[in-house]
Amino acid sequence: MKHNPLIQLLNASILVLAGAQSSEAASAITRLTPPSALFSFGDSSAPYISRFLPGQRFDLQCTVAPDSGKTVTSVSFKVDGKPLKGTVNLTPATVTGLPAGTTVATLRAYFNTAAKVHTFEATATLNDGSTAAATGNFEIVKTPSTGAVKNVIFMIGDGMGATHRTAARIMSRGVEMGKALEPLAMDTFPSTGMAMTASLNSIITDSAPGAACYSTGNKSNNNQQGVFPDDTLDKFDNPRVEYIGEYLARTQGAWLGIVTTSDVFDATPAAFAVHTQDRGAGTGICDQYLDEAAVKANLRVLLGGGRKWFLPSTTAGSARADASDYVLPAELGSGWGVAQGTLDKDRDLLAAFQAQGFQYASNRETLLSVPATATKLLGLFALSNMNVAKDKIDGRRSASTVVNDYGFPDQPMLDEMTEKALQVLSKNKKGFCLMVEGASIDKQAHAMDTERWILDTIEFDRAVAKAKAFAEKNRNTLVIVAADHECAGVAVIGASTVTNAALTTRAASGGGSAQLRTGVVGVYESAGFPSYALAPDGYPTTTDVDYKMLVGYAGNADRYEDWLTNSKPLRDSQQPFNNVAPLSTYPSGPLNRDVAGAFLVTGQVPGSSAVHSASDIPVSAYGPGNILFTGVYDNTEVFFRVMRLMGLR
Amino acid sequence: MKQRPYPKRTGKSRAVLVLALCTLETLGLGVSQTSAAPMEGPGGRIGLRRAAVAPPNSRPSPPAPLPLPPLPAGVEELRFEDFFKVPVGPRGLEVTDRVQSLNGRRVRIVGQMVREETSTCSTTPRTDAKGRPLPAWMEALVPGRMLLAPSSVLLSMCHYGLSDDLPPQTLYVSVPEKIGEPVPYVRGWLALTGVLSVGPKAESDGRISVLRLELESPWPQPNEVLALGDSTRR
Repeated sequence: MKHNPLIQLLNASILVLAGAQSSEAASAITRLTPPSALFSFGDSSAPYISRFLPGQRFDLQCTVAPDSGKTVTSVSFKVDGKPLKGTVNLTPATVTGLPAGTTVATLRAYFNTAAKVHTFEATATLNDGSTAAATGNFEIVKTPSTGAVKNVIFMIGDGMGATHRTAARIMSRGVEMGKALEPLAMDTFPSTGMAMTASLNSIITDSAPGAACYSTGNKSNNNQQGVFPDDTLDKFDNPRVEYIGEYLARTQGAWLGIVTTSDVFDATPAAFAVHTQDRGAGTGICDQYLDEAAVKANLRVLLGGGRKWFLPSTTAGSARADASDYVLPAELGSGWGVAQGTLDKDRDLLAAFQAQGFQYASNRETLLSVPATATKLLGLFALSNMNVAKDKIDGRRSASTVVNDYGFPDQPMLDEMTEKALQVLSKNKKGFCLMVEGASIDKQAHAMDTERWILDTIEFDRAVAKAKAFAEKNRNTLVIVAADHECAGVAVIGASTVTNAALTTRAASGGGSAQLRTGVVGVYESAGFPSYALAPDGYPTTTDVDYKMLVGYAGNADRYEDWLTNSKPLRDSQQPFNNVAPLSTYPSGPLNRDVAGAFLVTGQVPGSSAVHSASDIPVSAYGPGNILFTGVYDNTEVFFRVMRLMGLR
Repeated sequence: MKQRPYPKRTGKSRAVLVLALCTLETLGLGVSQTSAAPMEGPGGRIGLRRAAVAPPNSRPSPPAPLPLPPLPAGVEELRFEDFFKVPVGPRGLEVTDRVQSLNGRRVRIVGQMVREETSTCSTTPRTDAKGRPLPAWMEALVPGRMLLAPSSVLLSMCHYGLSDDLPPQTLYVSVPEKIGEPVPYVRGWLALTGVLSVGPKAESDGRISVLRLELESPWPQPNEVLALGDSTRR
């Protein structure tokens, strides 16, 4: 909300004028897209909410609420006073609570090449000849025609705030006498800044708009990716914004790669390829990876979990369903030149990828054996989310059976996936865009499972090292390390003042805070320098060292805490074996874990899961022009600074 | 002097790293709902015996060993965890050889009834055949059929449609004594006996079933729930 008194006065004037007209015509444009403060608040000044590259495609849309008994007959759009050509499609609004006859009008795939702030206007004509109009604005951001960067790698630690990095550094590199013994790979990047992460409708973003800001340069509502909000219930018909992968494929012939440790339908990976207002529509999202992203964005690498969306519904373990599938409106399909799709829950999407030339890897062994000549790669290493780093590495050490319990004992680590993705993408002389996500930094922070998100941050940093090594050899490569948001409000609060043996005794005592807070939580100089040892595999030999690092949560739900590493992760409702033994014996929530110590930490948020915070997140850059990423800026700025370095070509 | 446990960026004396495998506790799998001792009990029908709810500051107990009646002649015990092969192969889940061998044979299985939301995202409430509004939640939208899951599951068609978290182990149970009518809700653990059929089949609600049971045992009354523990804490 704006607080400029002059603007408030102007707004008041507008309201008076609107009131004067209301007796004759109450028809109104209630939403104007792309979103702008000019439309919402009558404020034509910066910051401009919607910004685009020269030539970047996006949809113009408005919602018209007609006066009682009237109908909308046509809508036209003007930009800078000039009428736009092209078909404006009218469709009924379907969200509940809108006046009868409310109509959504869309002009698809508009673009503008003139770098400046543009004013646009929508005018609706009703069946009695009356009209309703509204004005908004957007900015086309000046971008050079050429740049030094040909390849861009987005390394996104989902939920990774500053403290996630700090904790991973303390555990994997060590601190002595006040100095970190070594930096993390991401710490070695020459430039670091901070990004603000609010979404279009909240100071607290979720992963969908939190990631799409990097791939579109624009804000969206929570749960939405690659689109602006609208007034229809259709999951896939929202006004779109062209993704970086689509833009680079269309203008430069670049390839796109997506790598994640989550289910590939999850918000962050899909926010680089699939346009939807529903991040949960897994069947349609995964179909569109092939139907649209492989065609329009040159998607060549897709690695992660989520095989359940790729199996025909007749195969046990499939999650494909018509309810989560997609069919695009014909006008959208023709406007953007993309496949409309069909409800096809029985589709064998895995075989369809293979038929398009994708090599398929189902586990680490087959991934590593994919020939170096491969130019298309699909890897689906679990039916849903992959296991987290701690459980994968303990499986390799034969120290735990968690990965066996999940049914996937041979899953790759993120650095192995990253290396393979780079092997494929680097074959394209016209460059590539690769997104690599450390997904469970976020998921395990939600679960307040300290050691699991720390090890996932270490896993992610090892993937960052692979990306950096590639950029060292290929100097036209820019690597961005970022996060979509901070998760759980984590903070390193100190260290245990007791040995692991003593802590284990206290954790079994039922003594509550008297046993697990008093005499255990060492703050300030009592924390000293917790010390962990690394195994040759790059991960700590144990996370239950004497005098271990302790972490607190500002975004916490109620939880029991005993500070000891949990031998099992919390149950994941998306896992197909979740409800049967042995996964059914895993703790279901933070109140079913660590309970023997009886140390209840009362949550500040409702529910059973820690929440995202509004904390700024660190952004580190390596490669040509990295200096652009210093400072404090909006998350959408990352997109424009990357493109400033790549150029429009 | 304290030894540095980390490799230094510079210097010749890199610390020797030792791989000390984590000594994690072996997986205590608890007592599964079907690892039960034989039981007494009149006529194989099981009376209500509520398990105590664990106090909030103690670990939730695994379900108490269930005294199930002895298996009738010709009936095999079936467990949800036996359904599919582990590890998972390169594609989807595959039915185990044992379950495949039970195709067409009589089995007994313990599970919980899935609750299916009757309302849709439309504002029109669902009604029964006589036009009476249905309750917000009931067992089954498909008359004469219920879903048996390994644990408590709620399905919301409005919010998730068919893309919900219904476990693939779900057993599709046809209830002959409820043909043409909704199967009433019974909360808690149920031991069902019937004839198993295996293989994909399109169901009338749009789902695909893999394992189905033609119920033989009488439909249990709400006060005949098995005392296997509090389902909400599993």
